[in-house]
Amino acid sequence: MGFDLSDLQALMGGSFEEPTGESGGVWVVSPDGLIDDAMLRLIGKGRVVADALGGYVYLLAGCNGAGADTEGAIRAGADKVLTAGGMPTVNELADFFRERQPQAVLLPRNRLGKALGPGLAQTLGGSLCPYAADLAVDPIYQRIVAHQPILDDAARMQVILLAAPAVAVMETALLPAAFNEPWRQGEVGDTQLMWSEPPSHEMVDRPARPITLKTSPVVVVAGQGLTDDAGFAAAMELADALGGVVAGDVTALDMGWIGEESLVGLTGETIGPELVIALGVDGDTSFMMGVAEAGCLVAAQADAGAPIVPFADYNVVGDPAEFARAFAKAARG
Amino acid sequence: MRIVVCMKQGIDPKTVKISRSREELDLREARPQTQPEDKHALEAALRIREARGGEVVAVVVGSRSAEDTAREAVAMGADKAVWIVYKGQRSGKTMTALVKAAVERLGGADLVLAGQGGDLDTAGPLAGRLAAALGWPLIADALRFDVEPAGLYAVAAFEGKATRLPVVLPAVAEVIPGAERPRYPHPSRIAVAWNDGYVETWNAAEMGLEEEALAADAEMGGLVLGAERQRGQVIGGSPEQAAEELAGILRGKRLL
Amino acid sequence: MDFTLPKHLQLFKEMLKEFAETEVRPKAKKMDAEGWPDPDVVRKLGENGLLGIPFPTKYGGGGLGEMGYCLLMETMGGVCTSTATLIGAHIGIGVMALYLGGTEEQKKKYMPDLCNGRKIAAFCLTEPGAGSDAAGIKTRAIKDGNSWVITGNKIYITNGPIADVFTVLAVTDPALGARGGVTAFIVEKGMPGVSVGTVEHKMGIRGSATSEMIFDEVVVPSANVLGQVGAGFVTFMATLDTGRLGLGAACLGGAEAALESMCKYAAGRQQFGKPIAEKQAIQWMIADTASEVEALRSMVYRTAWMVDTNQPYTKEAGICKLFGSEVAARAINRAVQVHGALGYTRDFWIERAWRDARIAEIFEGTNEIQRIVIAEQMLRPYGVRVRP
Ligand SMILES: Cc1cc2nc3c(=O)[nH]c(=O)nc-3n(C[C@H](O)[C@H](O)[C@H](O)COP(=O)(O)OP(=O)(O)OC[C@H]3O[C@@H](n4cnc5c(N)ncnc54)[C@H](O)[C@@H]3O)c2cc1C
Repeated sequence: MGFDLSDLQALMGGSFEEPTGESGGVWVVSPDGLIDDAMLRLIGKGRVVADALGGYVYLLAGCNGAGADTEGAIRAGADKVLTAGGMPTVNELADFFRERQPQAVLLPRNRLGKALGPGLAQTLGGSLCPYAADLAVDPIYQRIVAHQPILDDAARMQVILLAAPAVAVMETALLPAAFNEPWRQGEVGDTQLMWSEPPSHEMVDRPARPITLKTSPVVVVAGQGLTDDAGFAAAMELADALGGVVAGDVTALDMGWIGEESLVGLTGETIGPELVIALGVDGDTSFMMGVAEAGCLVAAQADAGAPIVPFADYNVVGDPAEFARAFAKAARG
Repeated sequence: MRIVVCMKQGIDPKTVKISRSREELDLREARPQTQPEDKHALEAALRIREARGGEVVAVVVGSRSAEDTAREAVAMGADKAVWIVYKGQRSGKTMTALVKAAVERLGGADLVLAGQGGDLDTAGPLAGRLAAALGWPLIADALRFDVEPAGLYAVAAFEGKATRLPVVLPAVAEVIPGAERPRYPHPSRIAVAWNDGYVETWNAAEMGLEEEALAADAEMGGLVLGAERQRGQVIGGSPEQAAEELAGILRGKRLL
Repeated sequence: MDFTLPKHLQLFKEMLKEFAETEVRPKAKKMDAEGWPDPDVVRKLGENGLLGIPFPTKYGGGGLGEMGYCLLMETMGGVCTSTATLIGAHIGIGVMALYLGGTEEQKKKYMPDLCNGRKIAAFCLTEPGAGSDAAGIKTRAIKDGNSWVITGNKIYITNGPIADVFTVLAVTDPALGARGGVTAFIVEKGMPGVSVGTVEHKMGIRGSATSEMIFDEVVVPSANVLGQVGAGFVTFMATLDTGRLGLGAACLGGAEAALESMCKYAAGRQQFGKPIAEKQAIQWMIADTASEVEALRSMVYRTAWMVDTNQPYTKEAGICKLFGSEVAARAINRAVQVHGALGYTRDFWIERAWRDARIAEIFEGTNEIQRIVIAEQMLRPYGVRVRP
């Protein structure tokens, strides 16, 4: 007498039969068949959820799995990799899943995932988290709980997905690194399905409002610690690499590097972007109040005792120009 | 041509704090606001109307104060607004059912526009769901619409650039911010928006919706708090090492 | 008693804030430095219906009453006093004279273009010899058949250089003087003989244009007599009553902005290892300012309500102007003190606000004249004649 694994799983509310066929389980969908690091992370999250529920992880890859690293997908946690031709529409995907009754469907939060996820949940009568950073299973009721970032990801709201399938459109960049477990085994199969061909696109320039100091999510602020024009050039290079704008504090204005319209601080613009990189800025009251609303402040300057140090989230103490060049390179990847 | 714009009253994220001790949102100073993302959808609708005529109807689902959003839509230029009073939990499924019923009660629509969903908006963007519910094609990430003799075209964000596609009506589009900022409400419209005749108040029962159709597909659980912001961290090493380490940290925070 | 703003005005207030932050604040420093209004700002004010706020929609106005106008002036007063002045001279006195004194045809003819900013208005009262003593004007209008010929110089005219429509006060019958001998006219920029004279170099509100206006034998059709011949002085004085309220509202905005900046800066600025906000000396400046701002806000909003409900408000409007200009000056002066050297530099807006604030004690009737107006209202029931 004693517990075996199936009893334990039953107790945990999971299935106590070995899952067979292709029903239930957690499905990870790559509509264009691409399996990159983001998809591998998503498979890993599917694995964690499937283990908690007691089920299989399936990867469904469109475009005949072109570019699909099936081996990698299995090492990352997929039990079965299924391919199909073309790219699915909402209805095609819904038809595929209707009899398979998945418990959860995970899609990456990219153009395709965002276009398919909501419609899929709606068509199948499931539930949806359109923006999930994490997915968990609550141990008591075995419900799938998505974590949706709120307030610029200062916190996450738990969203309990009540109806099956639980469709989660997931921000893969927020997921932990992918598993790479060579001992894992899995199957590769073909659904024999031929989905729609992706439509061809007439490409045009993207209409957008010009990015300004006030609206740019990333701002590089130059200060006199950059010492010379070459130092300021490094700041511009970094702003370029980060896709942000370059601005300056009062000292940069005095050096003639920036115009008044690019001045950050109480005497110029008060800004609240996601990220501020201050280069060679030691941080007077005016500057610091000008960036008080920034989501994250990185400071690179030479003085470990400068007022900016305790105020910045991250400090690099040293030559700001040298750091800027190195960081531009690191950011470009 | 009738264009329906889904608009929602949300909370201004700047007025919401996080109580770390109670692990919940501190909503004492929370201020309702029309979800800014939805104003882009309304702007797109108004521009189409200006170019080819027709009628713009804002549909707002919400409780008490959501009426203000309906009035604001009128003040921005909507011909009228429908305020669907619904006090229950407004999950994405619930909202979709209500908006779909409203479109039907309006006698249909040629185009339904919705925004991309805001911070704190757990019901999420509605366009994808609505397209599926109505059985109409979805235009994702629309930045702009062009009214041309040959018909209506959408310019939509696509892989860093944009693509231009003909809009086959009826259709649903999710509108994301493009080159135009949503217009300010006009004073002469503000002056009349609270008068009779601009906002119709409907409810679920009137639209023939049963409780089951409106049951929420999701419900809110607690809050998961990230690590508290820690200022003053110093990253050591050579500039290259520091740069690599920092890039890693910022990537983890999705700041790069 | 209910002190909440009606819903539509709450929305208007939000709209104003967004508009001012987006379209006006970024230009404020430049306008001050260049000493000229920004045409883009003026155009956007017009396009967004902000140049006709208090007037009925049937004349192209915003239909938001005096309360709406005060909210507009409060918002602009906190962001750019020059723009508030431009609006004040346009709506508060320029178009207001037309609205209060004009005939139906005149309103229909001129107001729509003025309300949407296609045309800008100026109010021409002051002359070299007639400042506080407005009745001492010398500009003459002589009847010539079906027209009037106007000759005279007006000085310190806000919007003079950019205006298209002028409401001008002139003597039509020297024998009758202010009571019946003074008439207001609508003069257009294009009429022969109208020219812009000396442009003033001012201490503050440098982003609003102020100039001399020269009227040299300007032939004006009789249809352009504003209202009745001889009624001009009364119209102009009534116009100034509402103008004063708007000025009080702009002062409220300036004082509120100073207060907010004081609090924010005091909380952020560290000296002696602590935010200066922890010092009682600073706290008292904040507390005094907050008290005065509260009083001023109640006063301005209440007087606007009196205007909108057709109650007499001459005394209250005078009090709003008098108290408002003094509160704003004190608040901004304290703000300079709290900001230390930063408050004294050209780079920071507080310095501009300090220069800007001073005018409110002078124009639209000096504060001495306001005290006379208020005292006159207070003492009349006691049979005391108060005269300047
Ligand atoms: C920037 C600016 C913009 C202006 N815009 C306009 C405009 O758009 N239209 C327009 O018509 N005018 C305009 N004015 C003129 C303004 O209204 C007058 O300057 C103001 O009314 C005062 O007149 P004054 O300068 O001649 O001073 P004065 O009347 O000469 O007064 C000088 C001093 O004597 C005091 N004083 C005068 N009489 C008395 C009294 N009886 N008792 C006690 N003290 C007294 C005054 O209070 C003041 O302190 C503007 C002025 C300025 C500076």
